[in-house]
Amino acid sequence: MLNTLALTYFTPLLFGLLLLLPYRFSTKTIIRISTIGLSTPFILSLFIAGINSPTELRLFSLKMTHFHFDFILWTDHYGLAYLFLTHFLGLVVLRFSHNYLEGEKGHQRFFATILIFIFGMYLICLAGNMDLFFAGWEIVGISSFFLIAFYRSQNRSISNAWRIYNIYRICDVGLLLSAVIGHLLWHEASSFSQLAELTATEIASIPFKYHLILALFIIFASLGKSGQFPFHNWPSRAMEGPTPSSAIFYGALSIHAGVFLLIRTEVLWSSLPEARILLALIGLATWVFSYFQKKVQANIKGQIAYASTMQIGIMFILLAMKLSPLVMIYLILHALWRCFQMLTSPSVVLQSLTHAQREITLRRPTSNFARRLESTLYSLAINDFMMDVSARGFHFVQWYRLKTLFFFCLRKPVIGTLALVIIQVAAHSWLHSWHGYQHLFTDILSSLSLLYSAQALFVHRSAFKALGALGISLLCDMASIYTVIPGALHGIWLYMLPILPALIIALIVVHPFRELQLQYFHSQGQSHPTRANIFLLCFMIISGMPITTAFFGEDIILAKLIETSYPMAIFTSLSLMMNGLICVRIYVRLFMGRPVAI
Amino acid sequence: MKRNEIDSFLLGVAKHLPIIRPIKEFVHLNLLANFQHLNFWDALREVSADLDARPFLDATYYQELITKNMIDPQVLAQVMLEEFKTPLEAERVAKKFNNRPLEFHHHDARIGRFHFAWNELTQAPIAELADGLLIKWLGMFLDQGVCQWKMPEADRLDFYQAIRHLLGQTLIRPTPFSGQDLQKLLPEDPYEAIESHLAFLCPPAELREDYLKEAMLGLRGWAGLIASLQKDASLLDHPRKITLHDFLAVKLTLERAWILHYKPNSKSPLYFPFSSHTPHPYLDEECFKYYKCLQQAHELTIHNNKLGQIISQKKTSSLAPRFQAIFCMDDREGFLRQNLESILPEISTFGTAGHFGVECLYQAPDAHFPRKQCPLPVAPKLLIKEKKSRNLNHHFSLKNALALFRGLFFPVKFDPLDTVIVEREIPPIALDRSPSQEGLPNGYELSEMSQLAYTQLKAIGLLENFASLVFVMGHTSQSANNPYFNAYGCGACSGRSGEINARIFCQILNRPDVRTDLLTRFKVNIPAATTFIPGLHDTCRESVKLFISEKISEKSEHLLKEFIATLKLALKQNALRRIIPLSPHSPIVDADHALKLLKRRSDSLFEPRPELGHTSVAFSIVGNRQLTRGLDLEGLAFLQSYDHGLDPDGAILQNILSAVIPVTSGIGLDYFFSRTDNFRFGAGSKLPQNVVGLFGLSHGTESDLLVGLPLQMVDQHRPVRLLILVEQTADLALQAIKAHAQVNQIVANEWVRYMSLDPHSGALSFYRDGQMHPYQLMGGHYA
Repeated sequence: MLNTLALTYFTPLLFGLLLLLPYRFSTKTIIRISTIGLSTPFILSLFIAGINSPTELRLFSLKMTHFHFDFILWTDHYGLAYLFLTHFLGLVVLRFSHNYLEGEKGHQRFFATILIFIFGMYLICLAGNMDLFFAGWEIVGISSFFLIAFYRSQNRSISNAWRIYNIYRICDVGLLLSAVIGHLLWHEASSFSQLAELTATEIASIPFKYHLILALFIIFASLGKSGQFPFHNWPSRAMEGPTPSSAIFYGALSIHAGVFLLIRTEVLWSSLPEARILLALIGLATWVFSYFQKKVQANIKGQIAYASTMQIGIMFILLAMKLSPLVMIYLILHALWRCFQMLTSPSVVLQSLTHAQREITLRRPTSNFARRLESTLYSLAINDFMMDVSARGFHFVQWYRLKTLFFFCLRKPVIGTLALVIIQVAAHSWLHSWHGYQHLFTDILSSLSLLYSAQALFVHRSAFKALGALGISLLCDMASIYTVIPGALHGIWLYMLPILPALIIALIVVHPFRELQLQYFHSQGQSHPTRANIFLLCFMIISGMPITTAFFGEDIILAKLIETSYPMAIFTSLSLMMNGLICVRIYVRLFMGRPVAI
Repeated sequence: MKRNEIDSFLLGVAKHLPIIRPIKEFVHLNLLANFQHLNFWDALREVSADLDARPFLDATYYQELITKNMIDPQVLAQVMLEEFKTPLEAERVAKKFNNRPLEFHHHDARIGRFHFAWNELTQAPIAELADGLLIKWLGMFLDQGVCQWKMPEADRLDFYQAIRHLLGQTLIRPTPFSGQDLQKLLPEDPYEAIESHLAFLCPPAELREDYLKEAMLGLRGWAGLIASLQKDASLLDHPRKITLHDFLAVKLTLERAWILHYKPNSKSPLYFPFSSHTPHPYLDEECFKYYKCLQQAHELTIHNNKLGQIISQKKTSSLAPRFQAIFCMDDREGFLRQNLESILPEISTFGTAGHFGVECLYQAPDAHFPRKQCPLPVAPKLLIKEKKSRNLNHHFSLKNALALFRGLFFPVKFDPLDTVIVEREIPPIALDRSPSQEGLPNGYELSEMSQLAYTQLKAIGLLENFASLVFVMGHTSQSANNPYFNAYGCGACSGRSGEINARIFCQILNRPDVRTDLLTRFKVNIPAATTFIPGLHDTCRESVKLFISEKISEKSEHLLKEFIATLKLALKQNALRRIIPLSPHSPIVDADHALKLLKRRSDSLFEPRPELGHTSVAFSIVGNRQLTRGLDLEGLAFLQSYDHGLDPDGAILQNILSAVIPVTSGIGLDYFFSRTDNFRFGAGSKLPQNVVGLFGLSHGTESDLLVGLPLQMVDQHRPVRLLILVEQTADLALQAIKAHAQVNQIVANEWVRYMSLDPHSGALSFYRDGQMHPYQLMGGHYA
């Protein structure tokens, strides 16, 4: 009974998709649709909360000859707490946006994106296994992109959205691989409920190397979404959308998703002191850097963003101390507070007039050295400590020299491939011990695939060429996988079945724009909306969004690969991740940007 | 470029910058006030070319006006004929441009060409990097209370020196300055920096002016603010020393530093091919003329329509008034006056600038700084301080927290719809002159007070027949979570609430010593039974507060009750009227419901349109209320009362116009430009706005400051220039504008339309080319 009822959690998704249809709904209808979409699951959650013990709800499973995908929801206390936070803030933001967005262009699109985002959050809160969790994670990522880039005609907001999406996606590799490794290590324990019951000895039985890699991947995955060092600069760049969407994302829900991931998977990393030390160091670094950067922000939303990452840094430290119940309470209070701060940020000027201001008197340092230190910290803090990876590059090291080398390798495929093969072989020998040259051909193929993906992302200036390179990279990938593991053929089928047609359609769609240079915005979406939408669909399919079988195929391929070779799995997942970046780059450059003014 | 060249250049560019002021000091201003020495159309064309802006709304807008008959075809034909001389030519042009969408591609834009070239050269977004850092520095330097860590030496040094100091002191130098010669990048003299960087960044001397213009206009919000601060540093509460050449020097330094960072070896000056620039298609001469005709025809249609109603209006002989009420001339107060008069025929209302002649700085009990309470061009001569009296409760408590929580979902406080509140326990403000420490004198001398009272009363023509209750209504607009809080306030009080001015004005007039002085010096007899009662009309919530500190007789008390009842009715009618354009989608049940909705807008944290402000304004009428009484003005007009009978030589009119024309044309033109091209002249959408340093607004965290008004404030506006209608003979009307240079400039250069209505013959005249010409409605000659 409850299992069937749990399907209610799909209402926001369904209604969101409904709103994405080309039909224009009236303002009232949109509000009604979104209200129903968000409040029905809320009622169900109230029922579920009535059940006292953690429950597993098995919705359905997809079974084919070689794989099965279980759609399981797992309601433990942490998940429910986060779920109710999502319900509450979702409704608050809906209430806020209701008046706030009235008459705004793209009104319907905004609500559709919010609904789909909330659905992604439901999946994150309730996912019963890593696969489902990853699906929610991806949905949240892509809807964030569209909310930051809500003003499609503002070049700055689109570039910021794109940069942030890049960070998200790079960090997603961590989650994808940790899901796959999890499968490998505990064949039988693929769901969170089973993970929760793992005993210490069972965990300790895993070889250290693999365990460490797993923990590192999980931590890496959480960094991107939660804006932790070295990615702590993106939240301040994300303040481009309408205030309610900023409030729900960077203020409240999605920025805490990384913390929630760590709480969910605590079993997997907390037994490793190395991982905990790393976590604490990351939290500390974020805390220190954000502290100074927060102090020098002259704009209110930027200040809120850094204050958030700073607090989340503290949460990371607490997590490293294994204080997850405390962190959960902290998280909820923090999210509520930030959401409120963000929503009321426009009134700060008026408040400064009516409320007597407290004069900030800082003791100025007296000694010469202290003054110089102050200036140094100050100017570094304004300059984001030269670590704004999302925009200015990692200038702390002389990055541009590395960049020259990087581009040199990209332009000379032979050298590039050679370098990649060496890296792969070396990594392989460290992890799996030396096994001779039996995989050399495969290594070359997967290196080539990575190289082509990188070329498509960094070098090509024509969308058509970039997509072509992406196709070659995909073929190399699949060939390499097939040569090393013939058993992965069904995975390859599942993966390529939707992607190949999508790629061909995408090639046809961008063909007329092959002369346009990809380093500028062309805003063709205005004159060719259909093409833009078709490409958008292709881009979602190619990047392995959980809408086609490619999502499952990816999972199977990587699972098979990781059994054989870790480095190859990493290479493949990197190139798959890059495929998504390539598509989003093309979409942003070709179809978005400041329009032709009429 | 040498120092004096740079200075003269900066002087020239400063003109092209929009005028923006710190958000706390927001007032509606003509964005192009620096161009008022030019003809309106020429200025529009020149500025649009500079900013790649669209000078008119697009073709579909005008097409819609034609189909809705809001452009009279007869009028349009007339205007076209005048512009294009022959009917044949007019027809040809109309055919050529009618309903043809004109596209402008941003690749053709003037601003951004240099940056484009650099990006190609360095393969890095130089402009974005340089501007990003510059904006952060500027924000930190000018910050008024957001930053928690003040920039070292910001309050002592000027901007360029503060940056030099900061970078000179650092132990680790941040990119892009690491490993570069700081002495060369930041020489002691900013002019020297500009000179050497220009030689590096833009070697061809003939392109330098273009380049500098681009540098300034590319960040025109910041540059505009700096230009304002350069003129008047006291605009900020914590003053900062900053000039345009400081700004330019730092900007060029950053650009050079970033280029050197990516191309460390480019010692020789850069050379770049220059992409071409195509002007906006609307700026094509014929096209511009065609749209100018459409725009003029639109203005004439709106104006003639109302003028026709005014002329054919029957003048009712006024009864002896039982009540009198003085309002602000604001267009929104027009509705309330209209409603009051229709309910209570024995009331006569007056309109005047909402500061009621009280030109002062006012320091509220818990404020750190005094605020200006008079129109922008006026320099206040005295300071009025109020002692702490009201108990303000801002403390955190469980009750407040619960209220906040409830407010999230149900923003309306569930109080009965008290639209009129009478506050009786208001302590009087200390008005008498007292010695001061702050430079400006505190309070008035007696003679000043009676002079003020006389001038004000004479201007509106209220020197006799005083009713026993005279209400003086200031106005304000209360909206939560709205950074443009000043934009809805009283323009004559620099966008603030008119409460204090109304209270001071009434207090002056209620003083027995002032009344005796008035009688002896000016022969104005205010009967002892007359009481002046200050009030405050909240145009957002449609509520009124009355402040009664005097003792009033029982009879007056009775009258007061009657007035309050009327006022309540009038406010309800007002609410019904005002809510319709605000929420077209929700059906309105009755007046109480409308009031509730308005209150919800005012209290709501989620409301980008708390009210509509001056959105429908198109007129400014200076004349007796009899001219428009009984007419539905639809919020189109500013109404300044003026009795031509008291002003045989036009001196009062001169005085009135010197305030009315600059202020109202500023409001009208602010709306006009923000509506025409909201992307360049306006602030874009209000939704993603971010408060910077408590002095400005921007989108995102590293971008230009916003200029003008946001889309949500102007999207229902029909952009027309104001028509100033004066009830006076043509000769005196002409004389009145010629007396004042600024007014004359605005009128002569067609920034407003100017007409007079002869009070004796009822003939209309219009101004053109320094003369008044007879004007006939519909057909005949149009301005």
